[in-house]
Amino acid sequence: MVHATFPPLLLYYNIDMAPSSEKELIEQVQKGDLEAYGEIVRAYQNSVFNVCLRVLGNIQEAEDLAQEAFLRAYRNIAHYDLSRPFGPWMRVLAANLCCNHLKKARLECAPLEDEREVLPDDPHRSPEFLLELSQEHQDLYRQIWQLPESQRITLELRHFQGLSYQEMAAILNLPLNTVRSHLYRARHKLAELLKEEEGD
Amino acid sequence: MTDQKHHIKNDQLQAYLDGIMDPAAAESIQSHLDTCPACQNEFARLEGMSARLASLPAVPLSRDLSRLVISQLKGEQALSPVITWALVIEALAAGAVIATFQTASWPPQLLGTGLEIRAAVNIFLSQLFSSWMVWWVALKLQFSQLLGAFNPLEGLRLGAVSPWGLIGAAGGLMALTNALLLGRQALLDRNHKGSQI
Repeated sequence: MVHATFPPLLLYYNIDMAPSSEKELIEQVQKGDLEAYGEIVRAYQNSVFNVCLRVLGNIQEAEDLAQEAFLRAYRNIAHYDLSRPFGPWMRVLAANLCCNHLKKARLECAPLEDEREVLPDDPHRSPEFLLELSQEHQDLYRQIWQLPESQRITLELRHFQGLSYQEMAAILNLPLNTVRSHLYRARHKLAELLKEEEGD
Repeated sequence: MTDQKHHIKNDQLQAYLDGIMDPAAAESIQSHLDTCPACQNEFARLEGMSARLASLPAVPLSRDLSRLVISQLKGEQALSPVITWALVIEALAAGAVIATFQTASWPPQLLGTGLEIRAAVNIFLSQLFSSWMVWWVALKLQFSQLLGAFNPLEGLRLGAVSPWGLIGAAGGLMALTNALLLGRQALLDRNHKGSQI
């Protein structure tokens, strides 16, 4: 018997709110209760911030974009489908926002560059906010940020958000084959980088 | 299609890794992996990488975003009445200026002096500019609701405001002042004419 080797991602399921209390809160938010929305933000801010951080590789930008994502979510809360869980919707919204932010930054700041890569001055030195993590995890974060944007975003959507290829293609507005190709390159390159790191 | 001579294609290997292959194709991939060390090695690297990603811990957030988000949303909600009042004041100001001229004499072609005609045209243009200024702010805020691209309360970041908006706001303010001064002048002129009659 052949088993699925890459199980659906369960990374966030244990930290999201219980569906009943979440639904109750969102109903209050839809009636204009900002305090209820404050509770929603407190529950999801860490996971949304981490989506932004993985995609952007910059802590300040990640905090700003996470904040912006919550503002946009509130402005669209009237159209939110209560039958769906809020967490995945919110994190995909944040990932999409980061993707647009990177595109905009590329158009405004570096029109001649193909990709804006997040490369630290010293690739072996971790930023301060990572120092509490183990060396292995610091390395992994650094390797993710060394990937080109298009590869990083597909990696985020597939590995951390658990989206299907079709969903990723729709969000990124790219052909399905391009998404597959970006994802494979991301995985292959990351595997290579990790192997190099282990060899050092 | 996989056999001993041909290694598994990248997209097939990836689909197998993601568990999205149909059972027959997956069986074929598994058979190939059982006998091909090169593909086994590539698959093991990808699988190991996936496992490491799944173990990646979250980075703690250094500040509470909820307070910032809620205060910003409260500010936006408070702005709606501000815009409404701005439009009401604008409409009242426009009405007052027009009423002043109507009581003087209207339409301007029938007025006796060139000054009044010029004043009427200036008033009209001034009103156009000042209305445009108010509507610009209102529309910009309306778009911000849709796009989230502009936030006037966000630490007064001038970079977020278009230079055209600033020019428009300054122009509108000057135009409004001009309108009031010209209105006053036209009134004085009418009173002067009245006293001559």
